[in-house]
Amino acid sequence: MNSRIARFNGQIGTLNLRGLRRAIESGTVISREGVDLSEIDFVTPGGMVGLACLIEGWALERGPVPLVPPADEVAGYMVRMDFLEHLESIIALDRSLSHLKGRSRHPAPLSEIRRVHTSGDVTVVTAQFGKILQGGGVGEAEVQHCCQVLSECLTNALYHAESPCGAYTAIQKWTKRNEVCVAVADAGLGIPGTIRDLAKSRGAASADHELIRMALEPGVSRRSGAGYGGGLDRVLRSVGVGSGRMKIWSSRGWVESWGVSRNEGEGLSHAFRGTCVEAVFPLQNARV
Amino acid sequence: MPAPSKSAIFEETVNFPQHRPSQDPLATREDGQEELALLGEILERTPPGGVVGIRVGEVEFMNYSFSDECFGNLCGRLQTGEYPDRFVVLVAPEEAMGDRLQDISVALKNRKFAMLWTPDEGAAEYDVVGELSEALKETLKAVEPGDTNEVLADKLNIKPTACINRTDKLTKMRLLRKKLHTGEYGYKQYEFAPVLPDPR
Repeated sequence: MNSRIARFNGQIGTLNLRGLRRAIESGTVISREGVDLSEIDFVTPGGMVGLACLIEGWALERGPVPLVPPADEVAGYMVRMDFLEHLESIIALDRSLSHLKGRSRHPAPLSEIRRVHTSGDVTVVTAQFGKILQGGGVGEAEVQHCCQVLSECLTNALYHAESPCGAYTAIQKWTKRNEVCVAVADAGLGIPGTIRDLAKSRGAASADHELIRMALEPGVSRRSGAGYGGGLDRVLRSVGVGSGRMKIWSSRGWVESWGVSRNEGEGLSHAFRGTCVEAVFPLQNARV
Repeated sequence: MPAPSKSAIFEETVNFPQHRPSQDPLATREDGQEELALLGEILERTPPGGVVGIRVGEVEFMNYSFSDECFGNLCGRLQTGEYPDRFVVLVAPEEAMGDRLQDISVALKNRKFAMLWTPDEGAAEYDVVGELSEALKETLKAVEPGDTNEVLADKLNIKPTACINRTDKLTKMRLLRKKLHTGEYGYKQYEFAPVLPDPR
């Protein structure tokens, strides 16, 4: 496997959602041929749940995906997050990581990766994540923002995505940065796939990033009927009110949003099968 | 005049949610449908003219999807004529409505609906959440028991047809009571009254 290193956003080896997108676009570090994390030195929840869904999709097509894990320090975190446990039947590790199991807990408030298949799971995971954040000293308003993002993205994944693996989700509070990160990913139809027909009927633009932007508008949904299409708009508001930033990657399009600003684009060569959302909130109101 | 007792205001006051503990997150459309069904049962057994108070103040988390499924659809049903002559009022402290329950208002606004809300069960004050135009708010505020369209139009200094449109909308949204009154010489006209007693 080619172990050439992608340079992500000026940083080497950060596997967040943007890093994952650039790694895929490089076509060398992470592809359906295999995943080489040997030079990764930092992993975020968005990078992890996005990668989990990519591997799920590739494994459906070709069987187990070869994976070179990162160095023990990062691999230990991924073990702690149950990344390898969820995927162990569909990845082929190039070395054993059993020595990392049972190590001491990561000190920061975080939740292991969860897989969500039913609306009951959404309720349970939202309750658990809320308790973890409250226990980690996160203020009530910020817990509300995080749970809004989490529950609406999970609901969208279950209602619209038709994802064969359900949805993956994880959260982490970064104590040093004083931020909390919420991530949700699925391996389904993708946002552009769910509203392309609607956009066509309206004569709207149909590039993938334009369709994602359209899905963020209130009232845009693959389902007809009053009330649908407000979830992502609500997520965007929560991110804005909470001074957070959000990245969405779906099919070939991506949109990044922070405050009232937005940036978007389209990858030409590689698509994300499904949708991945990563939201990061600064903890202005964290309890002491 | 003594303040009305709780029973004089609400035919029934229900804790919300009913199907699960209030500390559970209300986060999915399925949960919203279940709670809506239970509210529907209560409205079915409420006598005509009755007001159901829904205590939502204990809810710790409610998202848009749940709010839309439960309260958006409840308002939709009321507007299309289900549960005729029954009324619904949300009961919750002001800070909760503006904070952890704000998705009720967001969901109603997206559908251009509104509901009555009071911060306490004595209904010493009340307001609307959701979307209601300034003209309709003004009309709602001006109504006193027994007002006719003619009287209201005079009060608001608007044309009678404009007033009829406004009272039609408000009664359809179940924010205003309407009663057909037959006068001394056999003529008929509608009289209006606030859903909740005047707190003044």
